[in-house]
Amino acid sequence: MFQPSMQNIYRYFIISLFVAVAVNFSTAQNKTPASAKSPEVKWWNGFLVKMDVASPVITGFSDTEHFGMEWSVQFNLKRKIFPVYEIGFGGADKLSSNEVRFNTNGIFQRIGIDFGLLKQSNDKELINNMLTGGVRLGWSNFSYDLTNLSLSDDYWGGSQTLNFEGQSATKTWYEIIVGIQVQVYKNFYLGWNIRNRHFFKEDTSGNITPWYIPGYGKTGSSNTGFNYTIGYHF
Amino acid sequence: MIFINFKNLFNTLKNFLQNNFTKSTVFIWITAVLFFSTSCNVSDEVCRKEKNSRLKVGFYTAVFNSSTGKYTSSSLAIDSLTVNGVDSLGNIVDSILYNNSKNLSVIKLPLNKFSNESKFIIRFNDSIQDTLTVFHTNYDQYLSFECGMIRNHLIDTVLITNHFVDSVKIEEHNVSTIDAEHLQIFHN
Repeated sequence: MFQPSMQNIYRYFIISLFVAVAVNFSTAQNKTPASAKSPEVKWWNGFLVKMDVASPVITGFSDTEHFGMEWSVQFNLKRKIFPVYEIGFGGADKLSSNEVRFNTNGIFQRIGIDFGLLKQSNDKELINNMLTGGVRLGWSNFSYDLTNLSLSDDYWGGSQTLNFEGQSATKTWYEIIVGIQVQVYKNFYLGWNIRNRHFFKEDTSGNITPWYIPGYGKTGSSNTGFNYTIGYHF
Repeated sequence: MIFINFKNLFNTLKNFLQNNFTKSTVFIWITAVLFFSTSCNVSDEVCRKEKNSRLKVGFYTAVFNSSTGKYTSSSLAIDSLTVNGVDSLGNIVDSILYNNSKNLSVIKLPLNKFSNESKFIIRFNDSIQDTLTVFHTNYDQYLSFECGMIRNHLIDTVLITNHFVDSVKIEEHNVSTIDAEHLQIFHN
């Protein structure tokens, strides 16, 4: 889980659309008309095991303060409904500008469902590219340390350093996701998705809140994440 | 005003994904590369919250209202004020809080973060002085990762000598970053 700024997400999304439109216009359109009758679509169409490569790549190429790995299983029902289970681990080690250190790691899980937004074409050869939209329910049980919090009295004098180690927390949140997935070769798939995360309940002010939550990212009332996935269809 | 035909855009994207197998693969790579290239600027966060919790003291005088027959308090601007902290050993703290400041009706004082007692000497109009003693308990409040921890206070008791001052009243016990007048000092 890698955390771009909102502005970049928008920029990226607009660029993506332009690229899509431009590439498409540059090609000749020779569509075959869809056959009138479609064959019955089966309920069970296998499942796709996916791995997110965005976070490890980003962690490897730049010294970001957080890291993570995640995998998911996406079941294909009627080529339209995709129940999803995601599992992963993540953590962070961050030093603030005032020398406060935050450290965490933990496992997170998410369950949810994706819906195919494209109408299935009825060509003889089925192409398994899809545009999906869905929701997730995520939770993480993790422990964290917040150390080297300093308190000083400029007027009366005196100072103290506070350490909070082994704080534990359980957080739940929901996500709204839009993604694209394409079949690149036989059973291999590539895809990306953008997800917007929200907490069900805000933290009470004054509590020692974690700066980063595995599976959620930087703590805030909402945040945006991105996955780039490689998948294999069984 | 920008007008975008979303239906057309969506259909274009849809046709593209359904019909252009190789190109959609290229597309997904290009978009990923563009994404990574635009998203690698991480700015460091700085604290933008108020971190000082100060004791706010207002000066008042009681005014007799002849029509209602009652006393009402009215804000009093002191011509000249000098305020110093006094430590637990009775020594005056080197740095001065208010030095002959003119025409003030409100002052803000720092309470001791590592003690339950804060003592101040207030000198009015360069002549009469009173000692204000505040007994308080301290508690910590975590603001955020960027801002860290601050120490707030809860006022227990307030004592004041009566040379210039008549009385003191606790208006708000909780001294935090929330702006409030905690003490009212009366002079007649």
